[in-house]
Amino acid sequence: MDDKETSWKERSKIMNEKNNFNWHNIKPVVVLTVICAAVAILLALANLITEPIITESEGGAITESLQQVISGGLFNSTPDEMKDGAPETVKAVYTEKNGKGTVVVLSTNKGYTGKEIGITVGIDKDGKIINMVITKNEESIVPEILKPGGSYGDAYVGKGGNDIPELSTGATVKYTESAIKNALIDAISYLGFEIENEPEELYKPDGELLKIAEELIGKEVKELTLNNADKTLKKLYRAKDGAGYVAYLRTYAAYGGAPETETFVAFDGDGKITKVENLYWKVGHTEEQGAPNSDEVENFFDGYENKTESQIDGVELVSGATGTANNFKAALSAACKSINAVKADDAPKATADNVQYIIIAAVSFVLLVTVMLLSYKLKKGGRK
Amino acid sequence: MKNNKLSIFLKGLIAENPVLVLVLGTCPTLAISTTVIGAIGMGIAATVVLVCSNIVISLLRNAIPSSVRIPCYIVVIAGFVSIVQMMLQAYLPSIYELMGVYLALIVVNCIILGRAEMFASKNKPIDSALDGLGMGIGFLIALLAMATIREVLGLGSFAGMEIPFLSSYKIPILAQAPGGFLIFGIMIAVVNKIDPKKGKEKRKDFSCEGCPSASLCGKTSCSEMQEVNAVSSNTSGEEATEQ
Repeated sequence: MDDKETSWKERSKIMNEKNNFNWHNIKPVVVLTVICAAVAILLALANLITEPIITESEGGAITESLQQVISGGLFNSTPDEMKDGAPETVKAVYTEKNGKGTVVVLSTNKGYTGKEIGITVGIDKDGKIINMVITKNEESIVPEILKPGGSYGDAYVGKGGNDIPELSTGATVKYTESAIKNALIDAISYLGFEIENEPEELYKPDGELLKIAEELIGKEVKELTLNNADKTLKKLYRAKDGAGYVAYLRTYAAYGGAPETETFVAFDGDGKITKVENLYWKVGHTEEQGAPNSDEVENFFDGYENKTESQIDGVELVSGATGTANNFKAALSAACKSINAVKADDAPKATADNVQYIIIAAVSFVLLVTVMLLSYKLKKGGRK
Repeated sequence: MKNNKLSIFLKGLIAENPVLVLVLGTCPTLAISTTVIGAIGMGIAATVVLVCSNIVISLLRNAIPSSVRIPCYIVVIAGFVSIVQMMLQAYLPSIYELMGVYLALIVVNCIILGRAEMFASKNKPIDSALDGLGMGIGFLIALLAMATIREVLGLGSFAGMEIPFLSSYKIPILAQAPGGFLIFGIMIAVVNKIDPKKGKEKRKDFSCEGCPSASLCGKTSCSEMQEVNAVSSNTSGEEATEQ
């Protein structure tokens, strides 16, 4: 009886110790909390020491880049207040106090590998680029010219608006160069400068362009991101139901770069042209000098309706403006190629996505089963 | 005593080199060893974190309960890594930029957590510090060797300084991931060749002789396990005989 009672008392004591709020149970929590608190205090101290130095050096780097783009310029220590609706690439703006221009600090991650590219550009009061420097390039493929301190910015000096060149120092970095160009365009448009050499009637905000595209195709559309597209293809829209495209084309004269045509072209889902709407047409000579009249121009554009890509070449050029007509034909062909590329991207991508998900699901299932089997085996081994 | 301390320090350099022998910390090794400057920066940062975390963990080894030892080790290691990050960003910003995300990844470097668990938690602070220093310098040596090969042959430069006669004969793949793996494999093969104990087919041995932790645990737990195994094998033998 005594042994049973003692055994019962011992068992009770063990059970009580397990259930009670005693030091043995709370020690792990207390120790971990104390260690976390101690590490937090150490980190706070380290931050106290290093933060002023880091802030000063970052400010120094920015000041250096400001001087690189507007040499001898006088700037405030803090950037200007940002306007609402600023493009995401525009990070800071510094206005030079003596009217030499404005410096825009840009950051883009639309390059080849999606890593950050930092750019500082100085823009004068006429919207022309004074100088441009790359301050950071975290891409994995970086030619010497595109590294911080490289000479890539030299080609942009004096350019502005649609005059900004799209350089190509190598096939693998074309995306990076497009990203840099688009960031510079963002900077110039943020400062409110118009695109040079183009008449005011050609300025249409994105919302208006979208509306025209939707009216032309008769359904809702969504703008696509253009990669490696011809420069005449300004925007490409796809119908939200996937059955149609609209291309917004602008062509320019070969000499002088003056704008010649502004046209919307609607395509069906197979890439066949359904409708062409020309909004702007300008050639360098008058009707008296042999330029086509408005009916001839309209007939020229209507001639492309119901044509496929292979039939574009067969459409007659308009007499008296063969150069302009040829430029439009080339732009239309390039647009067809871009649409074909988009269609080619869509089909395999969807499949690749599905296959990817299936693989992930299969691997996860196999891992789960393996873990369950291992844990069962270990448990069984432990019981022995 | 002194020999013991010296041996603790020296084993991390070559005999138990964390990268080439223990094959730990492969990810930062391959990522950072494209340039000599980056390799030196990573090696020094990892060494500092190793030494500091080993000392602290060793000092706290009797206070940290077993159930929360891993979270405590990680908090300590992460704290030191963050401090090193801040110091580099303040005083050596170019190195900080060069190391990028791999500086923060020192927290999950197998070398640091492994040595904390295998050595620092079972030994005195001075021994732990020496072990950390040896392992860190061994990591640095391995990184430096790899970086030298990859930068010289892959980029035609050394520590950023172009080597004129090599710039026309670069092997670019060596500066990229496949080349990194290639060089890594060749270096491990060379180490296996040099060290007579390595590279030979190991006899599967579940006794203390086959256990890499035998010298650390004092063989007490293994000897207990051996007794249990001996009893169970005798029991199964008797059952088989009866059948």
